Amino acid sequence: MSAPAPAGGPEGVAERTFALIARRAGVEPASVGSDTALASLGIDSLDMAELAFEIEEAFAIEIPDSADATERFLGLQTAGEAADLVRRLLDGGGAPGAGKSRAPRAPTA
Amino acid sequence: MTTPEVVVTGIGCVSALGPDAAAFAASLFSGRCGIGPITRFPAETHRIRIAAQVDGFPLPGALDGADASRLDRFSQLAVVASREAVAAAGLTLDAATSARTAVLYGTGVGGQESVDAAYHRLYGEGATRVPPLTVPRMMPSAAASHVGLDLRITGPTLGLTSACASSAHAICLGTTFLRAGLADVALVGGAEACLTPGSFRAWEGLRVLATDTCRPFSAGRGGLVIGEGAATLVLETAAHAAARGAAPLCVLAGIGMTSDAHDLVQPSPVGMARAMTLALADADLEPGAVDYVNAHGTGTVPNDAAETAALRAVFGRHAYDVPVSATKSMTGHLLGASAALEAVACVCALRAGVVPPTLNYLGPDPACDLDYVPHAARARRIDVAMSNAFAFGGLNAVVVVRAA
Repeated sequence: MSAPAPAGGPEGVAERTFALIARRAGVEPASVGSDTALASLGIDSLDMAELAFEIEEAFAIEIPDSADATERFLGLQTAGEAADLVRRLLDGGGAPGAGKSRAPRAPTA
Repeated sequence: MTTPEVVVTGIGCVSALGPDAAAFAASLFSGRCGIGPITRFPAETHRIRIAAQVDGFPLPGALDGADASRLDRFSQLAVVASREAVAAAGLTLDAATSARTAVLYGTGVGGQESVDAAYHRLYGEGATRVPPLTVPRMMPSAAASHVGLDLRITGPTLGLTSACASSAHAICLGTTFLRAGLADVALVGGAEACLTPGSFRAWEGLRVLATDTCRPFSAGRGGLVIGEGAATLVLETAAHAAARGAAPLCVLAGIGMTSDAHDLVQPSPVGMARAMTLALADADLEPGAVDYVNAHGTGTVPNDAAETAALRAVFGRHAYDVPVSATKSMTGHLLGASAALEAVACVCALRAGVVPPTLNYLGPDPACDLDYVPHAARARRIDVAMSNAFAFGGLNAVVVVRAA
């Protein structure tokens, strides 16, 4: 499914990121906040790979494959850090080698 | 009854480093990297556009006598590597020998080119039919079957799959078959040919592939690079080899197999170390006897750190003396075929007295503090070599060879 265009404000980005994290962890969205540790939600390395995919689809961004960027994503500790990364990628800057925004993927058959 | 000793009497391989074992060894020792841009499929839109391809395969005549059009590429590679290994062993597969010969052949993902082509017709072109031989081409046991058909081998024959340890398990089980008296000869090896758009999209999603090159154990390493190819070893009981006057290349001295039961993709140093320890015990060797370790060394951050920790746990102070290299920096990661190719590398290293290097090394990572033989091969007497294979799923298999 293609996602709506990214919500404007920083709060919208954080809320949508938290919602994706909550869905992946199988918990209520309200139970995920900036300081929530991903590990405390039972999110493991495979969840992180799937979360990267879901975030890319939802925000129509690309988390780069550079070693630094991938390691940084897989090494995210909290939901707030994840939201910060999404915000930087949406801004097209921040993370080195990052920030290439692209058109949402067409739904596949 | 004493357990029969198992020896290696022949090797063969096809890889990005060349069409046969001699070319492979020459490239290993000269430190030639087989990684380059993907040309086997249009990769412009892919995140990952590098691989270790086998170019120019098959060489003219290499598959003569085999009905190559009926074989997926991974089976073609297996047949060519196995023909070379049997020829190098000087083995004549007459009816009696053939019945006492086993084929154990590993693959991670089987006939991916056939799968990709068939599904592209269905989903990409809207076809309602796929090529009629898709099933026998894609089945993971096809390589084992075709090796057996091609060489007329009638003993126990099967495909093995345990992701990136598949062909290590083939070596371990082939050794076990010979020790148990189930066969006198075993062709063991692995083949992989998954340079397809679908397969690469799947790997991209896992975020373990490097975008630049493979830098095992190095600072700044970004992941593994997929390679293709096949490797076969002829294992024989020492008595069978002696009876036909065949000189062993080396002894298949020890095997060790464990499972982490820990995580599907995150490696555990504990399971790795147990496999190494079991292989050394099986070979009746102390850790200090090992002269060279061909590491699993994929170039991912977690594998290389975990493998280093495991090597320290097994070898103690000797971990800092024994050269450890990752030939995946040259061959790419052949997945189910990698362990057989690396066992061949160990045989070549032991025979030549040369430790292959780890290429593309940029500098030390604090989590990887051993001697990885960066950049250039090194002369060293090698009496004992260890080859590690640590697969997704926490499936570990280790092989130890020693001079005959």
